[in-house]
Order: sequence, then structure tokens, then C-alpha cells
Amino acid sequence: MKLPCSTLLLVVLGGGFNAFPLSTSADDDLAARKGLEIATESKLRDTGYEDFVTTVTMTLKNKQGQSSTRKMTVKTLEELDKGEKALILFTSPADSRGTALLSYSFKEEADKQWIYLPSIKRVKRIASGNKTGSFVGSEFSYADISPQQLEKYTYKFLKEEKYQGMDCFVFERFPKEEKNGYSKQVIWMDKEHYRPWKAECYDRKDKLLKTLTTNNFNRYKDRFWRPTMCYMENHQTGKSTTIEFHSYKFQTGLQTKDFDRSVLKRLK
Amino acid sequence: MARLLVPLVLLIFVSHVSVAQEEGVEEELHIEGYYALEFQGFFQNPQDPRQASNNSSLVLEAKMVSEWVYDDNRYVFNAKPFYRLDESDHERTHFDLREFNLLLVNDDWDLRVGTSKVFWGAMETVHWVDIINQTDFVEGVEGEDKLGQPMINYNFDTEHGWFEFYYMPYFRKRTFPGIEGRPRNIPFIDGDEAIYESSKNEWHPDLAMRWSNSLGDADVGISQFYGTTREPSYVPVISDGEVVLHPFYEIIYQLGLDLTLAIDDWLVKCEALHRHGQQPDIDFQMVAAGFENTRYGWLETEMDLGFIFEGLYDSRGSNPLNPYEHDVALGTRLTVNDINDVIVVTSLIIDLHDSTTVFNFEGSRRIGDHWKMVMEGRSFWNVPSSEFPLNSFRNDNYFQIGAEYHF
Repeated sequence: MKLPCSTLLLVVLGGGFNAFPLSTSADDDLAARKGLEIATESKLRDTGYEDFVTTVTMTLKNKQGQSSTRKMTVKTLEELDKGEKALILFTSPADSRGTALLSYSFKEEADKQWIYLPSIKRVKRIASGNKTGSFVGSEFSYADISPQQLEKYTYKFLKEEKYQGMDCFVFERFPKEEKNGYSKQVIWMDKEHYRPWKAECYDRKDKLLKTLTTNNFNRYKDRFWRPTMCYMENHQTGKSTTIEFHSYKFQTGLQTKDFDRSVLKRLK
Repeated sequence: MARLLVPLVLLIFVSHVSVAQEEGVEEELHIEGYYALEFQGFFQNPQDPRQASNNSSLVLEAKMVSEWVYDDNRYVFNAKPFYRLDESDHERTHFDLREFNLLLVNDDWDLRVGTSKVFWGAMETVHWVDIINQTDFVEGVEGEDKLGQPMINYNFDTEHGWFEFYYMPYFRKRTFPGIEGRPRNIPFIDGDEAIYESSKNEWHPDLAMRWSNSLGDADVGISQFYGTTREPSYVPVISDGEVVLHPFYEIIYQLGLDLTLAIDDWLVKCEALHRHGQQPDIDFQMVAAGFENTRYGWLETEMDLGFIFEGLYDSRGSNPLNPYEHDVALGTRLTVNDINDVIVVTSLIIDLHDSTTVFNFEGSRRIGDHWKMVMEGRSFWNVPSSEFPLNSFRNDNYFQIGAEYHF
């Protein structure tokens, strides 16, 4: 799975467009087009990564300040025509070690997911409508952590703005699927490398629900930017989740068959 | 005392090794597992005065995995010993090698030799198609726990699905609670006095195969099994002036189907089987079908609430082998999505003819990174005296609480 931070946000088209806020309603079409072009360019710049493997530490904090940690290994495969596939293998806490989640995200069709429960050796299909659900108790939803497909959103360019000293594009993204859980996300992306730095996620009542921030991006294979940390704060519950990425390995030679359902049965 | 010492020594040994390996960088041998202390409390007096009342138990399960690559093939050695020490029931105090096998993984196929565990099926409340492993019935009357099955298992992947083949040279008898055990069947089933249809007894070679595939919204599996039935019939015998049942293992052929359709928030499921060769009806069918629907972010909280509905049908009608012959199962699964991973699952299985009802409850909560509290309850309501085997459990409503330490 391309984890949230790396993909939640998409980037801006390099040239050809004025970077001025578009103010009149007559320009809605233009804003939508520009938003899409930004997102498309961001996706294009990340296309060709083939596959990557990363290890992740997820720290959950509740309102009382208690915290709990989950660790996992994540493998992601790019399938150029179809979409992306991800395999998440939990390594901690000890009682969920060996649990695995396999997800296929398609450009057009509904996504597919299976969970593997090692204690009973069962591969169980998960309903595809679970996008809004919390991922293992974290502030990230399944939609947040699933590979993001360009085709499943509409876009609207808002403005340009400085964010942490960088020139950024600010645009909105609206899920086409009702089941997404967010009405929209507002995304800050730097103009130079199209890296997503911040995303505000609004609930179905258009109230600010969560804010995602990312930092410490590194570049891999001279092309692909990934953050080393993501922070998701829930403004309505006071809970938060931090994700740290310990290592990224790109183009490791993973293939489609490494993401077949049968691999779940071959896990240790 | 000696009985107590064995698992404790094992446990200390295993915990120690596991700590040692955590410090290593590239681990060759990986050890994990858990131990648990469980208490069972019963609300009524037992039907048979020889049965125990309250009970406690100690469990140790370790899993050792070693993996290496040789000549482009991946080899995995798996061992999973399980031990339970039970205060009351000597049959429930038992050891089993849940897994002890060598797995060879090639690109398109894999081969597993040794004892292992396989799950087939789609439903939540019953697992009828699941037939490879014998039920470790002393672990719980719901039959979820399984004994390790010796096998040679060859699987291969094609674009038309996943094919599995099994050769099982040795049969594992079902475990049954001892005289003191509770809940247990009444009359008492003496699991050690097994009778076989095959003259080879437990050495009858059993064969099985399964094809499965994911086609669009559907996951489908078709399986065949020929060999010694995992679910015995019973032969009444007079022993010491008392009726005792001896398990009778016949040679059967079973054709099974399991199907899951994922449509939006819904999972539509079905399991069906045809079995030949087992008394009282030589040929019969069982069908379970239903759905599961989950509300994610239930009531605008972060909790997920799943509803389960399953209809259960057995063409034999009332029979001593399957109490759910014309029943419906209603269940809920609440996932709280908090930092402690609280999960609460409940289900009711109701007989549509005589309203016999079985209530199940399971809950768990993690405490810190290693501890987990697990609760379980089971209740049997409106059980007519004729409804074997459920009538055995009429007084056996119980509540169980356990603490697990995972390492």
C-alpha cells in the first residue's frame, strides 16, 4: 500500500497555467481542470516506481494521552493499467503478529480486500465498502491508507500559498464514491516537487474532521519522494496517529504473483 | 505438581529464547506465542455429579519459524506446539503439534510436508465445509480449535485459480472431554474407544482437493474429500452398567462449495456440502447461507458494528451429529477501534422448530503491548430433553475469563 502520506496528496502541473486564485464562478471549469491537471502531474511524477517495500511504526494516542503502537511491513506493487496492490503484514503488537491485509485498488472497479487471520489460518474477504472505517484503531481510514487512484476523485484548484516557506498549490479533492467518508480534502503541495505537505479532511457535514501533515521527505531512485513521518490529528475526538517510515526500498522486483491471494496461505 | 512444572519450564525456556532473538538483527529462528490462564465459572449444578463445577486451565502455545532460500526456492520450517493443563479434566490436559512441517515455495507451486492446519469456508457461525483438520473438541464445544493433521500438500497457482491437493496418511481422532469435563456430552462419549469402518483404522489414506478463485465480486471454492469422516457417528455401548457412546468413524465422500460475494458494505455467503457414506442417511446435504453487513463509523463514532445473519439447513432433519438442522443464526461484531483493540462478538443460534437457543459471547481487550484479556460466555436455552447433543449442555451455561501473555 502506498501509505497515506505518500499518496494522500497529489501534485501540481508544472507549467502552462497561471498560478492565481480563480475567483469567479465562471471559472469553476477552469479550476476543476487545473486541479485535475495538478493531480495528474503529481501522479505522473510518481508513475514508474514499480514497487516498494517499507516498514512502518504507527503510534495511536487517545484524548487522555495514552498511546499504543502497531508495527507493520508494507509491500506495494504498481500495475500500470489496472491500479495498485498492497500487502500489509503486522509484526506488532505480539497478539496480532502474522495478521495480513491484502488490498487491490483499481482505477475503475470497486477495490478488493482480504484479511488473513493466522491463528485460524483463514483468508477472509472484507466488504469493499469499508473505506470510512478506521484502520486498526488509528485515525487513518482504510481509504487513507489505500493506494489512491486519480480516477476516483474530482478536483478544484483554489490558490497558491506559502507553506513552511515553500511555494505551494492548494487544491480540493472530492471523492466520487459516497462511501469515502470525507466530503472533501484540501491539499497543500509544493510547486517544485509536487510533494503533499498537508491535507485537511472534511466530514460529510463539511466540518473539519482531521488534518494530515507530513515531513522529512526523501527522494528515492532520483525520482520518488516519500515522507519519513505523517501525523493525523482528529479535531473532533482529540485523538491522533503518527506514522513513521523506517526504510523504503524501491524496485525490489516484486511481481503480480507476490500479491496473489495464495501468498496469504504461504506466509509463515 | 509435576504436571504443573512441565509447562512452566517450557514457558520460561520459550520466553527466554524469544527475548534473546529480539535483540538479534537477522533472525534465523523466530519464536513467538502466548500463554494464558483461564477460569471457567458455571451457573448451575452439573447434570452428572461427576462433572466438575468451576475450572481453571493453563495454556501454552509457541510458534517457531525458520526460513531460508536455497536454489531459488524458499523453505520454511514451522512448528507450533500447544499444551493445555486443566485443573479438572484429564482429557482436556493435552498436548498437540498444531504444526510441524516443512514448506517449500516455488514461483507457481508449493509443497508442504508434516502436520498442518487448513481452513476452508465462508460462514461465521458454522464451518461445515472445513474438513481437513479434526476438531479439538475438548478446547470448546463450538469446535473452532483443530488438531494438527499429518499431510503431504501440493498447491499450484494458475490463471484459472488455485489448486490444492492433500494426501493424509494418518487420521486424528476427535478429542472428547473426560468424565469430569464440562461442558460434555451426556451420555459420556469415550473418545479413546474409537471404531473405524476401514480395516486400516486410523491409517486409511485420506485424499482431498480444492479449487478456488476470485472472480470479480465473488470468491469461490469447490472441494472434494474422500476418507475417514472427521465427524463421527456414535455407537451406544453398556460399560460398567452405564450407557457410553463410542465414536464410529466411517469412510465418506464429501463435495463442498464455499462462496463469498462482496457487494459494497455487504458480504453474501454460502457453504454447501453433499456427503455420502455416513449413517443414519447414506446421502445428505447441508447448506448454510447468509450475509454480513458492517456499519463503519457506527452512530458517528469510530466504532464498526457488523451484523451477521445465517440460515442453517441439514437434509437429515433432527440428528445427533448436527444440532443446527433448521436454525437461524443472528450475530453482531462490535469493533471499538480504540487503542486497546476492544472487540465484542455475540451470536444467537435459534432452532426454528422448537426454539432451542444457543447464545455465544466473546470479548477481548489488549492491556499494554503483551497482555490481552479474553472473555467468553455460552448459554443454552429452551433445550428439549430430546435435542442431543445440546441437551447435554442444558446446565452448562458458563462464563470464562482469561489473561493471555503474548511474546
